[in-house]
Amino acid sequence: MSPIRLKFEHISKRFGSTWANSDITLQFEPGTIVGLLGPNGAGKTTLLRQLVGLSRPTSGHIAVNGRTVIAGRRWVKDFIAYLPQHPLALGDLTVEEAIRSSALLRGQTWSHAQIQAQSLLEMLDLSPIRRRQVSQLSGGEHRLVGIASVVVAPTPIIALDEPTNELDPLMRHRIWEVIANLRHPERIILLVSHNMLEAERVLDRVLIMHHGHIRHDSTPLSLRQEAGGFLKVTVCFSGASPELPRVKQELIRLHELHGGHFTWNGLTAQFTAPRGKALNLLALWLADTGLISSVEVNEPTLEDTYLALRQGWLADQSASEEGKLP
Amino acid sequence: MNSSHASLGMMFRVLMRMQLARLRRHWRPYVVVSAVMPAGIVLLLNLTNPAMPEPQRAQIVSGAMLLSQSIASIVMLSQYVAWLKVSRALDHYRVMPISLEVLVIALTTAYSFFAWPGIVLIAFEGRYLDQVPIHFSWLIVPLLLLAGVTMGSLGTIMGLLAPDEGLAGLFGNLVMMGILFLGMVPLNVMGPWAISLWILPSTGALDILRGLMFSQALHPLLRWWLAMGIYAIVGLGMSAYFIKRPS
Repeated sequence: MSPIRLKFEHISKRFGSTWANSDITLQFEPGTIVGLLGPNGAGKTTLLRQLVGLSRPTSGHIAVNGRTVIAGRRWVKDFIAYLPQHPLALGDLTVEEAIRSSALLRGQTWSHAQIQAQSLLEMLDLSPIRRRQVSQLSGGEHRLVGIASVVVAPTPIIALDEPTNELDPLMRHRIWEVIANLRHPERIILLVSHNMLEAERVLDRVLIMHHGHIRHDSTPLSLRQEAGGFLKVTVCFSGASPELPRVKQELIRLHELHGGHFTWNGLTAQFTAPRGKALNLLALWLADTGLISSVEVNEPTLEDTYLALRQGWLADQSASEEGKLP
Repeated sequence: MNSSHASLGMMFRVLMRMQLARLRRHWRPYVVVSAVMPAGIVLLLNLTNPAMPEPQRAQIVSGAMLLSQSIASIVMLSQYVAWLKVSRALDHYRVMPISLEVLVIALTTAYSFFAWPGIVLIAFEGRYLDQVPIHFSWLIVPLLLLAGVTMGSLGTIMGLLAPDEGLAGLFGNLVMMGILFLGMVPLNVMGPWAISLWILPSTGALDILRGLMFSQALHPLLRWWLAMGIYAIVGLGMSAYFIKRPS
């Protein structure tokens, strides 16, 4: 059997006068987990809805194994499972029934659906509430049932929109494990998430969207290297001192000089600093102040990289807007 | 990696169970509401005019039965479908590997069942309160199912086209009023308005129901069975099309 192929060709979608996405061309390799990241309104959800046929592209097309995705076609639904952000139509069923019914509707036999449902109930800690009606669950529990109903019978393409929304840290951890376990040489997983710190653990490829365009497309590591070029520094000061405001002012000045991220919280400063000589000089200067309790220098996370990129885009945007002024 | 899908039979069973599960928490609005108003009308007319002639009583009883069906299949189903659309829960059905025609059959059949307790109650009311000689025929069962599917298709389309649940309910009530008039008011009394009511799916159902319950004459009703069958097929197709239609 030939591996799954998924292509977006010059996809654009317009709502009234607003372009939700514009001229997006992408190709996806089987066996990969791809993260769609970006600010609210960047067009990520629209792209997933176009993939599953819920939203018709204004121009361009999406092809799975060379066949164009057309809304409502059974083969599209056989190939792609989708977890939307909003509630599913499972509210009247109990948790166990909801998961089992999803498996049955995806073509599993009764006994297999039962086994799969049992295993997911245990894996996602849903056993104690298996007989509760889905409409009576909390937002997080509802989300878990939604995820279970998608992964109970995995398809060659899985699209997940904010899978860890409203979940506690333990459950988020478990969901990322479930997603990692879905990795298969003949499967493509596309997911939208705002939780970049956690998503980074499972992603093979990152697509960053901004204003309906793909601004970056690479692996998390190369994205950090391409867009990063900086390190994340956390400085803890040993105590309140009359010198501290001067140090703070100096750090702010350096931040303004090099750009990047800067926060000051009580006795802790966190900022990004360029790699190389400048960082060494900064470390020496901080050591000279004699106020330091600890200094931690880390590689930036995907989230730090994204924030740095976003700051750059905003700066470019305001510069181009200023240029337009008479 | 193979992708498989459920047989139509399994799909129908699962989707029906999903719809009937609604009765666990909401059986009162679904079962009681569709029974109370039509049964109340029969009782009211019996109390206000005890000397009503038998053909008129028979007309009221059969009209009330289909009114009960229309409350469940048109008013309630249109509101539910509008809710599915507005809350975007409908997207869940749209992306599942199911036949949307089977989904509409399951929805309309389930809502048809919701009216059955009311219909049975009205039949008892007609038989023992109004003293109408009602004959039971097993053909009433497929007739009510077919009436449920035709009216339910109309309710589904209204729910899909209405901008929200409130307006879906309003349109549903207007259609229900049409069915109420068609069922209980003699057509010659309604004058030119009667023509507009002939587009309602209840028209044929009412004629067949009266034939089966009161005169047991089957042959003249065949054209109505055919007309209702066509109405159901067109209604199902249109409902599935409106569900499928992407934004």
